[in-house]
This record gives sequence, C-alpha cells and structure tokens, in this order.
Amino acid sequence: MAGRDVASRHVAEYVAAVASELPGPRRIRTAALAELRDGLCDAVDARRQRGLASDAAAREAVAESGPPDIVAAAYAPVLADLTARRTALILLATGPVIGMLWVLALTPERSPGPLLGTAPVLPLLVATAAVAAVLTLAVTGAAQRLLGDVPQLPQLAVATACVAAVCADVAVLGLATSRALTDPGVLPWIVTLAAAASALRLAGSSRAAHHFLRTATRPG
Amino acid sequence: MRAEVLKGHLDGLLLAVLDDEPRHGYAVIEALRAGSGGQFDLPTGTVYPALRRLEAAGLIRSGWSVVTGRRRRTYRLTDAGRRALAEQRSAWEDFSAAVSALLQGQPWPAAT
Repeated sequence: MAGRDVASRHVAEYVAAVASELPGPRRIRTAALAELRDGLCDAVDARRQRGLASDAAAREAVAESGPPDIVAAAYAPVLADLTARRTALILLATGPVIGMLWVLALTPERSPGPLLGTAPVLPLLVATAAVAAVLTLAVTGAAQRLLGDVPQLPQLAVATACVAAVCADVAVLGLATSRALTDPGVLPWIVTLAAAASALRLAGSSRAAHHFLRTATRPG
Repeated sequence: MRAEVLKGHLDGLLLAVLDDEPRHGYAVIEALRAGSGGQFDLPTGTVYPALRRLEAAGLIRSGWSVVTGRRRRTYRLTDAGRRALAEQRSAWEDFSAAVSALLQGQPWPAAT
C-alpha cells in the first residue's frame, strides 16, 4: 500500500507539472489530463507486474512519458481548440436567449424588427457573431478534414465572434440607457434582467477575445 | 528510429494500431511499441493528445469504461478513419517505393 502511494504521488506530481505549463480553464485542463494520469497508472501497474518496485516503476513510467514541457506542448493545440469550441457553444446558446430578453424589454410589439431597425448595426453584429461561432465549431470538428489545418483559425474565428458579441452587447446597453434617460422612472424588471445578462456576457466575451487574440498572435 | 521521423507519421500509426481492434490509450502505446519492434520511442505522453486530435477530426471515436476500478477511454476507428488509413497506406507505399528507388540508384517506379 505504501508503495502504491509513492507511485501515485510521483504520477500526481508529474501531471501537475504538465498542467502548470498549460493555459486555459482549470476544468478543461483537468479533464484533458485525466486520461494522461490514468494511462500513467496503467504504465506503473504494467511495470510492477514485471517485478519492478513501485518507486522505480513510477519513475520509469514518468520518464517514458516525456518532459512536462514537451507533453504540454502536445496538449496545447488540443486544449486551445477545446476552449475555442466551448466559447463558441456558449455564444450560440446565449445569443438567442439574451436577444429574446432584449426584444421583450425594448419592443412593445414583442418583435425583433423594431429593435433591429433602431440599431441598424445590430443585425450585422449578430450575424457576424453567429457565423464566426459556427465557423469555430466547423474548424474544430470533423469539418477540419475538409478545410485542412489552418493554424490559429479556430482562435481567430472565436475571437471574431467574441468581439462581435461585445459590440452587440454595448449597442443594446447603449440603446437601453438612452431610453432610460429619455423616459426616467422605475425600470421594468425585464430590462434589468436583459441588461445584467448582456453585461455578464460582455465581460466574459471581452476576456475571451483578449485571450484568443493573444493566443492567435503568439509567435511560434 | 529518430523521434522527428516518427512524429510526422504518428497519426497514420495510431490509425493503423486501431485498425485491428478498439484499444485504450496505454494499450495503443503498447501496440505501437510491439508493432514497431521496439523502435517507437516518442514521449508516450504525446500519444494521448494525438488521439484527442484524431477524435476531434472524426477519424476515431471514444467511450469511457471502468476496468478494475480505473476509468479508461477506449478508442475505435470510424468509417472516415478507415478511409483515411487506406489513403495513408497508399501514399506511404508510393512514397517509400520512390525513395527506395532513388536511394538505391534504381529506375523510378512506373506510375500505377
């Protein structure tokens, strides 16, 4: 039991060293490296079955896996695509919901037409965000076989989607503010809810756009 | 065998290993080592992200299972993966025949 604990500690320290070299959300890193950890445990068990002591088995398995920076470099593009994909899915899921909230908040007719007409740039921003998000899913999914490997394309596509979402949220928040100033009074709860949702998405999209643009323009 | 040579063909090697039967990550590494007569000496930790990349491209698919209390991700070829493997085998045969001819000073192989 003590031997197995030593081996587990070696494996855990190694996986932590690989994780520390990787950017991105901790949840995605942890999920991606779970398989590496389980594979190393298999490698340790195989060596123990061949008669090696736990400590030596763990050291050999970790050495065979490779230096943490080399393994992290192999994981980095996979994680970058996973993160881009997750961000694109979040934008596609929240887009219609937040859009509907603003339609309910700003148009008595409950129709998107008047809202889109008031802010002519909105249709272009919404379309840009949607197309860029769908493109991100395409180039990080099975369609990459057809499109080929275009470096940084997923990061650029999702960054475009994030920037368009930021601009759209700024536009509707500006519209709501302008209406509130011209018609002061108690804000309907739906306006407050829509504004909060847009503000939250704006903050997240800004941070994500900055991350993906930095990743896409990083040399090497 | 030099690591940089193996690295360029890793995707094809992984597809070939999975052609026989579904395998989990460590079994793929063992099969690469056994199938290459011990020549495969890439850092084994780089195999797992390569498998994830092939899965994202739709060439393999995976499923989790629990074996002796440990979670294992098992991979198998998709139809697209079988087609990609066939293409890689054909391309490799043409390439290796041409290179062998050049290195050994033989006539260029006739196009088929």
